[in-house]
Amino acid sequence: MRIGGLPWLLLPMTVLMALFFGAFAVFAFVSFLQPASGMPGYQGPFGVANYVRFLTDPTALGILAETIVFAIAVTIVSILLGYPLAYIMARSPHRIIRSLLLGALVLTFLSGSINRAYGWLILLGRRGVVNDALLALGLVDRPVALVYNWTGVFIALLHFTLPYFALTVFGSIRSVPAQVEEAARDLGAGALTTFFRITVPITVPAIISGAALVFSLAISAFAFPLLLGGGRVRLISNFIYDQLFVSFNLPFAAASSTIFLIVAVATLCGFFWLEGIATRRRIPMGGLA
Amino acid sequence: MPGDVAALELAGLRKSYGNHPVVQEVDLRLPRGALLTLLGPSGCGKSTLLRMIAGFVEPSAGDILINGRSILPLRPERRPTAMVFQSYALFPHMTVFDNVAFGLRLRATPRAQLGDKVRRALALVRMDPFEARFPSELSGGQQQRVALARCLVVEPEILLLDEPFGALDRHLREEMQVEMRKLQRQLGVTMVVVTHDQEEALVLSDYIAVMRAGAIEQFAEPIELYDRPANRFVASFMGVSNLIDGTLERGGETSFRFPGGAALAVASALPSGPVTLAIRPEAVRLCALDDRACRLAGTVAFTSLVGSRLSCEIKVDDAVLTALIPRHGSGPVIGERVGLAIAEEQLQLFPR
Repeated sequence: MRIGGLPWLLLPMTVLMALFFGAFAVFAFVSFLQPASGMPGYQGPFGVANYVRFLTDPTALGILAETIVFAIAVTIVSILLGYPLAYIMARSPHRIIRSLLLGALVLTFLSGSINRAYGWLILLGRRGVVNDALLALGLVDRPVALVYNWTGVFIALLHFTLPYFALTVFGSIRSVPAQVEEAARDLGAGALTTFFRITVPITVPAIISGAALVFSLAISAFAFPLLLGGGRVRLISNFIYDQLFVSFNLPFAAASSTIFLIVAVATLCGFFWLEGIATRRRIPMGGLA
Repeated sequence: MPGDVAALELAGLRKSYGNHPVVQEVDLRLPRGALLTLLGPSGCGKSTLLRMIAGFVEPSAGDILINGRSILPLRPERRPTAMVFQSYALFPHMTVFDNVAFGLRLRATPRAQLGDKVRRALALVRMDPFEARFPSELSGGQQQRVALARCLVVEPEILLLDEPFGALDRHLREEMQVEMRKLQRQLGVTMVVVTHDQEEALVLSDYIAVMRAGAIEQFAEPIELYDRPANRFVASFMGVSNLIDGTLERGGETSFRFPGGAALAVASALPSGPVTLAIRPEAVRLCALDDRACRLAGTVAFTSLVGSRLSCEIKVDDAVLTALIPRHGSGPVIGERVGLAIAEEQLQLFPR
């Protein structure tokens, strides 16, 4: 299957990738330098001081840990809400329900993060629609703090990641033949048993892919914590941003980013490892024995 | 069978989507241990009928009884039926063993019995060496055996099979048909098979229901259906390829008038008028023109080799009859005048 000109065809892609990863290389290099005093630049000597500083700074480590826990929470809730949503979209006998849900999800893709953040402010603010409704119904006697805290960031981020997850597993659920579910029913499994023992396990690879996607989106969230966190919610991206544009400490920002990148890549490798286990032996490996 | 409780009874069963009837007024009684084939072209409603028995389609009217009790109120998982799907529908994330054990585990079978039962079912279909495999590691024929074992193990009252051999190649299909029939006899399980293949129906069945447009055209044992199809549609579906439209004339002697003039003396209780003559190609013999058995004369228009036999198209005036004759010697030559002998008992007339 070797084509003579193949190495040349790879050249444009190689150049493109080299440019992208070249930026990372420069970044990584800068992370071993020191900030230039009084201005946004960097200078020698070469060393691991920035890494030591990050890994010994309780505040920095706390933010990293909080970011990971927060991203895991967003991922779990995305799975719990997104899977049933995708299932309804994939299996609803009513075309209108399918189209409506799919349309709503695609629409969130099309609206920008900033628009959505302000949308959530209008909905969740102290004088927002949700609080007005709660007050009017007499469910609460004071407005509930729904934004400018973790709750607001969580809701907005969940809204952002849900379509990614739902659309990833949607295709997978659709590809489970209806006959396989019927076979389970026929052999004595109720609708719920069929869902949990047939449909969900078959789509586990897609659940893991979707979860990896949501996790990487959540762990790198920047705009939502900035706009809806009210200064109380700082995730790792916001921390790095502050190092860059508030403290002008470029090398420390680079070191923080590198550590963040390593943690994120390691987590994703964990996801792919899980996916490998889940798909093992399901796909025919070449010929049959 | 009358007086006996039927293993399966369909009473006035109907299904329509909107104004479009898919199954209309199906009445049928099947004794225990029998194998019924629902035979018909695609879109005749046979699969819908099967899915109604399994519980995946709700009938618009009528009733389905198993051993005399209506199963209509039962959900699919509560019905004493099990179905082998056309695509086999094995669970891709489970081993062969777990696929077969699925139904037993839902019935809370004790651990000690579970392994025994699963292995016995797999041994019945000669798949016991493959229990640790995943479905993706099996061939089509093997997957089908597993699908069958998965149903047999739960000991259903009625086993339903939807085009079970459709996805197999010809050789394997014939082998599996015979194997399935032997297994069915051995276990005495009542089965309903859906197929569009008349040869398959003949190999498998105790009873065949030929369906067209949602209705049963004929319900009979295979031999009866083969020898005495009830109407032109059934005859044509059962491989009676000589169907000639002509006229029945009653004078001193009753005869069938071919288009173009030739007459064939027949015995029939039908009134005179337009009729269709039906005869299998293998019931038509060639003979010498001066032979006393010779009933008709025609001209050989075409011959082709069909294995050990020769298919000859004989032009009788404006009609063409096909004869499937044993091959010996040089055989008839195209353009030759030949006599035709037709076995009276194999000939049928249907009113038009």
